[in-house]
Amino acid sequence: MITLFQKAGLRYLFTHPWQTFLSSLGIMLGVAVILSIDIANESSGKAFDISMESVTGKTTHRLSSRQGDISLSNYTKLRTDARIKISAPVIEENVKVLVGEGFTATFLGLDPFSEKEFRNFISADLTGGDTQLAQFLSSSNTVLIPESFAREAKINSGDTLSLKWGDGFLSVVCVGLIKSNEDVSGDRIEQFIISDIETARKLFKKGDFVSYIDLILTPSEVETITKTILKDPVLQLSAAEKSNETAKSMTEAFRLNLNAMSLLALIVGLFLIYNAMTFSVVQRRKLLALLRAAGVTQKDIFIQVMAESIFIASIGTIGGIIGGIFLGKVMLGFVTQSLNDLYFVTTVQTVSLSPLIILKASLAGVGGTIIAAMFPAYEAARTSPGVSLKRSSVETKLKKKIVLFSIISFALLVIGVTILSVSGTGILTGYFGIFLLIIAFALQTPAVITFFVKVIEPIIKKLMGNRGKIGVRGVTANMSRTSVAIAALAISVSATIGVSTMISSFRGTVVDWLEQTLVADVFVSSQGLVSRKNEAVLDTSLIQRFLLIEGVKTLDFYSEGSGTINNKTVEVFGSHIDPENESRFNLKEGNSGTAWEEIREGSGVLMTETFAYKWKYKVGDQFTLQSPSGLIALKVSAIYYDYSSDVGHIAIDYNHFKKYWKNQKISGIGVYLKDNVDITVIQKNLRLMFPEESSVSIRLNKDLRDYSIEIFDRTFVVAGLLHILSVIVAFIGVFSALMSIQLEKEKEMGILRATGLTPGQMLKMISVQTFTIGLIAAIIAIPLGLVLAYCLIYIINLRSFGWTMQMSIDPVVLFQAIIIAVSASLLAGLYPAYKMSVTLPSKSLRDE
Amino acid sequence: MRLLLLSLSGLLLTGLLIYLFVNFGTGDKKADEISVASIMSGEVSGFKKADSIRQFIFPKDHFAHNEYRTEWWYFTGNLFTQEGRRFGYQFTIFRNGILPGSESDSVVISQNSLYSIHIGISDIQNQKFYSYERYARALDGLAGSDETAKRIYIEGNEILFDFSNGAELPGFQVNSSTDDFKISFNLVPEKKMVLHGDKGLSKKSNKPGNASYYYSFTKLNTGGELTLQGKKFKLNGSSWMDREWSTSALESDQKGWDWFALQMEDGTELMYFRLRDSTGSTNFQKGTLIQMDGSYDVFTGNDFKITPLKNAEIDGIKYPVEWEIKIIPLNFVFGVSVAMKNQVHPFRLRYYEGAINAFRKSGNEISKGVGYVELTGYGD
Repeated sequence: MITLFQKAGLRYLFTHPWQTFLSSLGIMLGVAVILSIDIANESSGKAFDISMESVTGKTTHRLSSRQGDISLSNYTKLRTDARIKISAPVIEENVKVLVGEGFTATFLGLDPFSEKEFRNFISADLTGGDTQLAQFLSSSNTVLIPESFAREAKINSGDTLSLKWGDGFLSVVCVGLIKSNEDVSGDRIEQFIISDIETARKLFKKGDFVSYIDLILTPSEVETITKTILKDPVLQLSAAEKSNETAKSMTEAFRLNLNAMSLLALIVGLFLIYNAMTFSVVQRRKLLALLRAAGVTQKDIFIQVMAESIFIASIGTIGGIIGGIFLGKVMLGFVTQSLNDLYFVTTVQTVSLSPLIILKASLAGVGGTIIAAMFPAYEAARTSPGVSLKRSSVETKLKKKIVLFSIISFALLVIGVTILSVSGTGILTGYFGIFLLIIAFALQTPAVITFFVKVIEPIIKKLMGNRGKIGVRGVTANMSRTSVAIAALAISVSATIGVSTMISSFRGTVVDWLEQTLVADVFVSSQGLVSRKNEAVLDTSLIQRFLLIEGVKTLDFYSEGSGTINNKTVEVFGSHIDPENESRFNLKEGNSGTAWEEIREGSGVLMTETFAYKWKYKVGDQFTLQSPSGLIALKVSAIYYDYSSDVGHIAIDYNHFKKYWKNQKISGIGVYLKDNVDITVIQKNLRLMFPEESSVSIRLNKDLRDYSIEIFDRTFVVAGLLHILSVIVAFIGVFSALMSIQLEKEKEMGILRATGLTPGQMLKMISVQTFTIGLIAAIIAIPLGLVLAYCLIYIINLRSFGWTMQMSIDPVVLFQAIIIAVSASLLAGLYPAYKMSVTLPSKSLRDE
Repeated sequence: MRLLLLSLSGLLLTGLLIYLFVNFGTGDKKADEISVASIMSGEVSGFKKADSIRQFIFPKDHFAHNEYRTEWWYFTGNLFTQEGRRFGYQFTIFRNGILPGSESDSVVISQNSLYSIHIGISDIQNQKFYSYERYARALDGLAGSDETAKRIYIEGNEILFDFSNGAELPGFQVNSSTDDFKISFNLVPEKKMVLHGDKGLSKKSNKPGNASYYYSFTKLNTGGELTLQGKKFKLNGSSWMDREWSTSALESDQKGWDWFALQMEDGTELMYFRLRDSTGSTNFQKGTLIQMDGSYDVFTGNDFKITPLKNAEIDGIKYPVEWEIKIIPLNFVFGVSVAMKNQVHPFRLRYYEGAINAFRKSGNEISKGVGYVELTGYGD
């Protein structure tokens, strides 16, 4: 049974819909942000698994040739001599589908009789059933394509497709669409064209060769292959699982950072909830006092306020979940883009929603609200009927506590700094330390308010007279309200300062680095289908051919291979650096003179800063690297700055690399031109050396730099979006705080209005107050923001990625912060001010 | 407190509804596996049909006919150790055309055929059935039919022809090497080749064109070694070899077939098959009775009467395991029963291929025998 008293509580919420809405809105935003980040993370993670699986399937190993295609005789040997049970030959080619503006696609020639253990391409439902499958197999030019790709490229079953491959054209008939199988694949865009392997073998004139052979191997089979087939040095067996895992762990730091940002939004959200609940208690102080006087117990009131807060939390959480799903879709776009840019190629469209992340968001919303509402509920229940009628008692108490707050704040500061300095490389502990610093700053709010108001009060009085003074003093007079609002605003704004400074410092560092590193005039590289690294596909003969081009001065080039150190896969670059270009490596540690000597003679390696950080190597350290043809003893000669990937790599001299990674192709070539050479002509000439739809990219220095910066900027779009959200949350916080202040002071204002204050004057007075609030928030936000920036740059980013950045403080960012704080505050005060000013004095004073 | 609970349960309920709403329509869908049967029931255009009597040319006809869609080399037999322990075996290499090939495709250069091998070993004493299946696209060295090397092969399994007694009376070597067992059998024909049906054109229904080219070696003296789970057995006995190719398929009213090969102690053999309709009744039947001297007679239609006498359930599917087969014009009555119950290949295309015991009554005379039965289309 709901008692009359409880009904009255609920009724209150319904009779004040706007207030209920505002309170819910804060929770809603907080929940939405958390949920959306989770959705983005989870969906992109799932998409990653799927895109890995859709290409590699359940493959454990892949047998390929270092010289390109692999002879089918090896497939025969695998099945007959080595008696390997599960194997599938694959032909993979890049083609351009000539439909509309054209789509680049991966053409896969598969053997459906070997495939069922590997991929679900063919075993997936065909929209037209088995007849299509029969057609697919029993004609010499038939293909299947995934439904999603067909939709995008506007291809129908039965269409004849023209494909551009190399210099030639191919014609194939699409005989069926593969249904996107939601539970396995989500709605991924699969830019694939699938044919029977025999069809592909003829189309691409493969003769007795295929691209590679996929395998599902048991450990003993791996041994058998190693002992038999791999005696041929041209062949290589690579473990698929391992590279998937490596690729996945790469993104962990990135995800963790996103999660942390969503937590920041939650902190701001909690402040807001606290504020909202306090407001609702304040509003009914008189009513609650009467109830207490009428015999309602403290416990009843406490439960009542808590129940209300849960009700509001429910509305907010439900709204937040709905909003979070929509926001999640937006976020997913950005996150996927960043992951694509940084790590691997994947496209997700389906939002994956697990009960777990919904539960997490709900818990944050409801649990957070319960915690935040405790104090107001306690406040409402605690005070005696008489005192409860006056809020000034709370204010008096708060003022007494300023010193206590300062002491706690100082203690938290010390603990926070200690945690940050002793926590080593922990990212989570890093965030916890930062969290303590934020709380420490927030606790200083009442002190800052008191001090600041004292300072500006005489100035304002001089400028605006008593009305201004009243306005300013209002900030201290209602400190229990204003301090929370100011703290919330300050935290949001400081986050803006912190993250903006971090990004601009990072950006500045990267731009400097790009300037210094990207000195070649033209870059030639080829990007892989799944992995974001440049695949070694360029033939070594290109080096000679490039050098023959008129106008080319020198070349730098590198080949990317992999090796293992202590059984962990690492990326190894075999780099040929023209001695003239050595200076483009900005060494962090190591002597540039001896380092290059060691590297050229083969005993030394160059290591990226990120690699050294993660592997804990210093200059002079020695280690053994497992290469395809044996162990190499190496020494860290130098560590250099590199912002190209957070995984990092080691680089050895190309001539040396060549000995161990036999037949390895080239991953990228940097071309240096003679003076006064038309760069675009060279670019065109280079382009002509490759077929049109080959994945080789030929970029000019400037283009590559712009492209790199573009990728960089895209990476931080998510961060930017989160800021906007937390500022919105803060804005709502300030808005509801000001509303509550103004509503409380209805009578006071009534008196002022009755004594002759015009609505315009009143508006001015309130604006002075909101302006002061904004200014104080900015004053707290700037140092806090800089502290945050420092922590993000030197603690969080270093621990997550291993990059050193030069912190640079942009005055524009600080100025922006002040503008944001003040304008948010002023704007939030407008409506309450307007409402106050139009209220008839008689109405406000009727009760007196 | 009730209010608290009320709010909380309301929240949970709403959350659940949202979850269900968002995930609506994305329930589990199990991807179908590729079915070879479905592929093979597809396009037949371009393949030649067995629609007229053929002048067999040997040894050429012992090898692949890529212009036809289906063919097989089918060995079955009953072998014994010196102590009399009995093993049944089936060793079959199938070729299925994916794309029609030409008669000149003697060397394997195209992957347009799918080869597969089915091996069944019936360890009668232990009532244990071993089943083995592999697929491979035709590829030099991996799977194919090689006239020069006189070899039909897939992975580690092969049939080698020996033409020292002429191409029409070949000897065979059958070798297999799998994880469970190893086979190495030597087969020598005791009787000349039997051409079933009309000079080797064996109809499968009354519809013209639905036929196959079909010949057999009905009595092959067999000796060799079987290694079963590491244990070696020296075996002797007799085998039966069926050779058949066609581009035919079951008629829509045909559901499966029962095929029998009997080798009697009196020196006669019987090949009998019938196609069943969906009620289980005989839709089409035919047989060949081979005499001791190798001469043979073809019987058709109403000459036969088959009566299943007993069924047994294997993996939830009922198979007949005992029959009576009458050749009415000769007043021959054969009693046939399986040598052990479970001889079902658990492949995607599930079928029964097993050793049988037989006896024949003609008047008071009783002759015993052994053989093989193949039962398809049960439980579909």
